[in-house]
Amino acid sequence: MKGRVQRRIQRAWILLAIAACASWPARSVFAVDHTNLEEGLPAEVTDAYPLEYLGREVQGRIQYRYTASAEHELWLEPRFEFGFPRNGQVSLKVPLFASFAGDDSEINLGRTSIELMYNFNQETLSIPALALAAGVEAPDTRDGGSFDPFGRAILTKMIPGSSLWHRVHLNALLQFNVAQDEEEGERELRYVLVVGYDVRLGTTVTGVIDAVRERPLLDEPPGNYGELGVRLQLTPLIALAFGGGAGASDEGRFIARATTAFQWFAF
Amino acid sequence: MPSTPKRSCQLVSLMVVLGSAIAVLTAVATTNLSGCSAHFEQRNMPAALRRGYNTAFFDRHARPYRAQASIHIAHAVQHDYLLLTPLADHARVDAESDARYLSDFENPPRIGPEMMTFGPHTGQAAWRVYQAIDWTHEHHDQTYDILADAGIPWPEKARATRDSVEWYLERLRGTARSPAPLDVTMRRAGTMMKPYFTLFRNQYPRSSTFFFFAHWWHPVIYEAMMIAGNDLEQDEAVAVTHATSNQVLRDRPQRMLLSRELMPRYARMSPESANIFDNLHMLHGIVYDILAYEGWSIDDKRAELYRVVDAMSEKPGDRELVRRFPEPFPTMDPRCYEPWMRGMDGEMSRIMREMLEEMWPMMSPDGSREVPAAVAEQARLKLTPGQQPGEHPGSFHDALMRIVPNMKMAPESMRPGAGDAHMTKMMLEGWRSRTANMPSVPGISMAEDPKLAGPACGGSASIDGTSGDVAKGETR
Repeated sequence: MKGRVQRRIQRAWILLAIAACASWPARSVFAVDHTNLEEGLPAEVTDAYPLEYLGREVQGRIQYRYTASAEHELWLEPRFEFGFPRNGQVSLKVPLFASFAGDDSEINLGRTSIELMYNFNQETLSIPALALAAGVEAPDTRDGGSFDPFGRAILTKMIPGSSLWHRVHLNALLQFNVAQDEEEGERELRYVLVVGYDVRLGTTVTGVIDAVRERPLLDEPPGNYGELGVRLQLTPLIALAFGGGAGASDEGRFIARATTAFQWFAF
Repeated sequence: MPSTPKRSCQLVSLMVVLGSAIAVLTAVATTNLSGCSAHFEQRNMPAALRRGYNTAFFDRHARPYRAQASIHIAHAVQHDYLLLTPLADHARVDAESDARYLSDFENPPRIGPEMMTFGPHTGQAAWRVYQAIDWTHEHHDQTYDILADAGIPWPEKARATRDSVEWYLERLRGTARSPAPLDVTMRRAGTMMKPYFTLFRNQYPRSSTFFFFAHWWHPVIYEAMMIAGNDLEQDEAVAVTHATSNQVLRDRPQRMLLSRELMPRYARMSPESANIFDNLHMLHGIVYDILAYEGWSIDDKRAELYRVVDAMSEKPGDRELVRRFPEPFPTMDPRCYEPWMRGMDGEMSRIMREMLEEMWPMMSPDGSREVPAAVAEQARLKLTPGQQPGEHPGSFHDALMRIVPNMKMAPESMRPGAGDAHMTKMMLEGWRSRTANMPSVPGISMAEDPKLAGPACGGSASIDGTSGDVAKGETR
């Protein structure tokens, strides 16, 4: 009974995502966004700045992951962002992933999430930009789970005294396991800590590097990895991102990921 | 199921985390860190207007689009050059920056920048300046797109431009540039007797004239589309006009050319948009002057920058003034770099001269109303880029104090962030009096797509009829 309800909820999320795509208008605008870091495009680190007020953006990423449990995973994640309210943004992520372990493989809907991020200030010579975000993730079709809320704090600071345009970022995410299954070894809290740096490499290219520590909700060892990537503004409407990273779990198991992504200031 | 107390704890801990972050931010923002600039402001950037024409200029006129991108990079870079290098190094910095701008213009980037990307230090010190500039650059993109998009019938161009102007003005009130003529906004800004005025053009003449070139380029590209219409003639007119750039760079304008001089047809179609661009281009120059001045702290500079941004933004009644300017060369051909475009005499210097005449009775030590010849001469020298023979060093104010040491000045009006309301009032009254009998600039018929004729160089008819031929391709 519980599984049926969950599947209905998941279907509702998928329909909502498709409806969001279909209802988007049809052409785009002036935008330069390769400097506006987005989580996972291509590195986990994000900056404290939202889309412009009432701006809309479609994003997508394809990510390969080699997990601590020696699984190969391929993630396909469309996203939609909307600049609302002023100095804020709402983002919706609908990930799909295929996992391969030995001869077994399966495709699942990942943890769909909706998040509201609000930026409190434009950074100054001495004060970093601060943004706070709150959201909720829905259960996925492989591990189930619950609707788990999360909060995120993001700090971004340009290094002053330079025309180079280079910034440091601190991200901290905390997620609560609403229906913790202690028998399954689930944790009460998930956290992700990221320290990152991005720098202008050319007129339309930025480089990004970060270090991540993530403790999952599930009974898996925390992971520690570094990432390196570039972001490229291809046209006024399209930015591309490429990157990858590697590291190890607390138990010393190798983990890796490679990402290619796009942002489209579409419609 | 988790217990209720556990959920309460989670909620409380979430609130503690969020509350702490807000408390930290509030504390930092309200505490003036010793020796640090600790102002607080929000980003407040709206999205551009979404229409089917977006990116039409990028798609249709790739090379000019990229040239514009390089010009905007130069604008961004110049801020940090001025804020991060001492005035004493002006000759070296000027040569270096000019060489960089020329190189970028020759090898332009694919995409236009935001100011922050190439002038990040200044953006942290005075974000609102970049907000005003980026937002108006976006209006440049929008209005180029409207003219470049052949899918918008020619008779619809004015309406589409009106929509774009409305979006521009309404979405960022207080920061968007005013649609009033520069004659009005310059008087409101009241920068002429400030201790920084003319520093940039006098100390950084190469960079300054590069931007005079840039402010030639922008309007003539509009006007090239205005004389050519929607069809393939537009590609030809834009290409030929853009190709004039090298000639203009070799023999650069010595003043900031105004929309009314270089895009009279566009100014008749959308005087609001034309004035907005004049007000942006003048803002660039004033910002550079302020950043170059070393007598103020960064907080002082920000106060003055924001005062000017405010003064040149839209005020009640501005929309009634949008057509109150002369058009000295209503039939000019944008494909021709005419002699009248090159010198320092033109609409900009006329506005400055008039302002000096309006101010002088309040500054003159003996109460005379006539501007002395020596003062007028210093004004001419100071408005000319570089150091001229006979020119006194420093700003225009410094030069006047050398020749009229007992000139009457209101000390409070010299402070950063302070204007001189009385002086502004007198100047605006002077302008109203001067223009009382001036006819408003008429509209332009956009009923038919214009036919492009061959360039008619040397034939721009001035308003007083001092020149002969009229450029072909006039839109009627």
